[in-house]
Amino acid sequence: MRKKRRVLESGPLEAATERERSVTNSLWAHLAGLVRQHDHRRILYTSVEAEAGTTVIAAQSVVGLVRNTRTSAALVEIDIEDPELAGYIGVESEPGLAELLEGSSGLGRVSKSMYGCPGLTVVPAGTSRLIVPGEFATDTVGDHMAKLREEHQCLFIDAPPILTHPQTRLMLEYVDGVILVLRARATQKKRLREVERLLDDMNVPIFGAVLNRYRSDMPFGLD
Amino acid sequence: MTRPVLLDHDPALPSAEEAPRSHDLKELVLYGLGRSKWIVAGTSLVGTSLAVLLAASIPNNYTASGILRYTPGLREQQMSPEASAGMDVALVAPSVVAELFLLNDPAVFRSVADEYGPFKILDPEDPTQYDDESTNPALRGLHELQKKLLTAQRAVPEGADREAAVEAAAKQLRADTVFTPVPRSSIIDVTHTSSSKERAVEILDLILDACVARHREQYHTKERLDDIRAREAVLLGRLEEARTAFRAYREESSIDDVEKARGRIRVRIDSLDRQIVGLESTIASTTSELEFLQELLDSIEPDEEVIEPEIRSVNPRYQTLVAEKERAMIDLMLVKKDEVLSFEEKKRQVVALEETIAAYDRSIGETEPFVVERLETSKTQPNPRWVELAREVRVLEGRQRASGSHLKGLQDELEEENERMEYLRSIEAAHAAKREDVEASEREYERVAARADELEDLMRLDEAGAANLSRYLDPRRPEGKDGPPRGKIAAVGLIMGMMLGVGLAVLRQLLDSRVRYPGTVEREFGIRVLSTVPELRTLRRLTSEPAAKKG
Repeated sequence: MRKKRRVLESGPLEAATERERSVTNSLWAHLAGLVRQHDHRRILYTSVEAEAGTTVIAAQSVVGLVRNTRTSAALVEIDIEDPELAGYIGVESEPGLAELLEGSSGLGRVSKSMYGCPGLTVVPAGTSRLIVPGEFATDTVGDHMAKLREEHQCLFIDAPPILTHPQTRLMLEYVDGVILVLRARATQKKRLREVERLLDDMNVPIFGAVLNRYRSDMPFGLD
Repeated sequence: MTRPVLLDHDPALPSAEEAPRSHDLKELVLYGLGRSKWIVAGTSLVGTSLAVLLAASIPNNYTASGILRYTPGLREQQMSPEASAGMDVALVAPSVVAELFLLNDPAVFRSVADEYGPFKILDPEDPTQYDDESTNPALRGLHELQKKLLTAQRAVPEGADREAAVEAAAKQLRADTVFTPVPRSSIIDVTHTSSSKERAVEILDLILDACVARHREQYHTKERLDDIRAREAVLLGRLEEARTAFRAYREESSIDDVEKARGRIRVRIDSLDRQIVGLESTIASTTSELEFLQELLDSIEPDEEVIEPEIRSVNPRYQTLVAEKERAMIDLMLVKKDEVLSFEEKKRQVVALEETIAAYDRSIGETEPFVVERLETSKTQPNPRWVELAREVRVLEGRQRASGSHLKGLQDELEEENERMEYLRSIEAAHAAKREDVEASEREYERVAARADELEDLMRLDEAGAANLSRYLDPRRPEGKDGPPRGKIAAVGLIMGMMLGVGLAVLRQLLDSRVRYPGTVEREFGIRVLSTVPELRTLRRLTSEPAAKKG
């Protein structure tokens, strides 16, 4: 948690420096390729283990895609135990998906627009709480996802690590593929192999991986 | 396991099932070096430090050189091992190899060590002896360290037995001294390496003297001549003993008579041989004849059966019956003539007598008048043919027995003669051996006497003080230090330390179980890496640079 907090300490997306954004925004070009060339419009971001920076990568890439391609997209955060997206994007955190699943708020109330990024609808995780077993397996979730997909050209889901969070596996039903966020020098090869096997078993393609916190070991700064 | 086509799929990118597990050389070595640069630096530093310590523990080397002149002559030829072994020395050129072997004799170095002082040889020159206030403190420190290292590794501890110290010093001197013959010349270069220039010159000076002395000692003829003379005396005594023993044996064994007796016995043996051969042939023919007769004899019956004639005689019963009948007829006649008797009576008697006579007639008719008696029905008697043959066999057997005993006698006599001949031969062989002893002793004595005469001539050279190994050039003081190559040693240490570090770095890469580089993900898992996001602090550093420029 401490490391994740440190990632978020860089501030809201709008507060990120130009250089920082330029590094992470390069992702949207790949996203655009997926959306336009291959018509993969439902993509789930997940990781092998916690603290990989999935939310930051997802937010940066989706915002870049929407801003640069004028595409309408919905970004849904499903980690209701540890919500972060709202703080990073700069939208109200509540009500969110947690309230939507409880039924205390409707999809219209939990869908928020980001300032300066027209076309992007953000559904934050909402009030932090423990997951109620089975709540992601209901038809309601499918209905909401279908509706968001209908209303937007693209649907992106920011999901917690797939091996430790069952809701991520349930959400694979609503996506065309997965982008894995790996943390350099931390992600175990054997865990990555497990994820790869799991996704193959579920017949969900891996569109690619983003290697976060990468540090070149090339001597003398050469790379 | 199938994976849908993604993005602009790179055909070079392996799929998950065909993803090789091998490592990339760039990741393995270059990234490994970058990642483990401090390990490499550490091992390099340790390697260099160890090499510097090692280099410091080796004292400085200074090499002094001198020259010996070796002009082998008659004395080296005559006193060479080949000559001692009895070879023709005229054909054996004195070898410089043998001379070098002689100069490397441990005795040479022992004498030098003893004279110069073994502890002085074993202790390297003190590296701090020329240090003073003006010397660089770092250099002084290095000299102090070097002194401690040299003291710690001295071969013989302080206060050790002098004999042991001499042995150790001699061994060190031998290792530090090199004899190099110059081809096609009489020159032998001699170099000695020591820890100071002065010491190198002093020790080499002693070594050159010791070499010349060793050569003189090796080829000194006086002692050899004394040995040879003593041996000559011993051989002469042995020769006299052999001659005396030969003469005594000759007289004792009467060898001339033996030779005559041997001739006689030879003739007798030949005669006996011939007789034995003839007799054996006779016995053989008699045996075959005897076998033939014996077979014939066996086929004939030794006895034959003879039948005897009958003996006819009067049958006594017949005679009795005839006499009884005659008596009955007389009685009848008397009865008939008797007149006393009544007719009836007479008639009855006549009838009775007639009946009796008739009965006698019947009995006489039934009885044979003669009896044929056979006393012996048949009898056997010797077969005269068989008897004749048996007699002949006995004669032959007797003759063969006589021949056999004669042959045995001849054979016994032959054996005796042979034993006598053998005895005579052994006497002759012993005589020949003693004669050979005498001749061998004479030859050995003559050889040694000739060698003694040769050495007599050589001794005159010794008395004149001539030596064929001499000092040609005195030791020259070395101009500079020969070693050790401390820079090279340190460089080798540095390189070995670096190699160890690189090895550790590569090993560390090989054993890494985490995802570290994009290439790892693509190569090992077949997952395309869309982007890499630098570490946050790297980002911050990168972003701070333009900001600073702006400010």
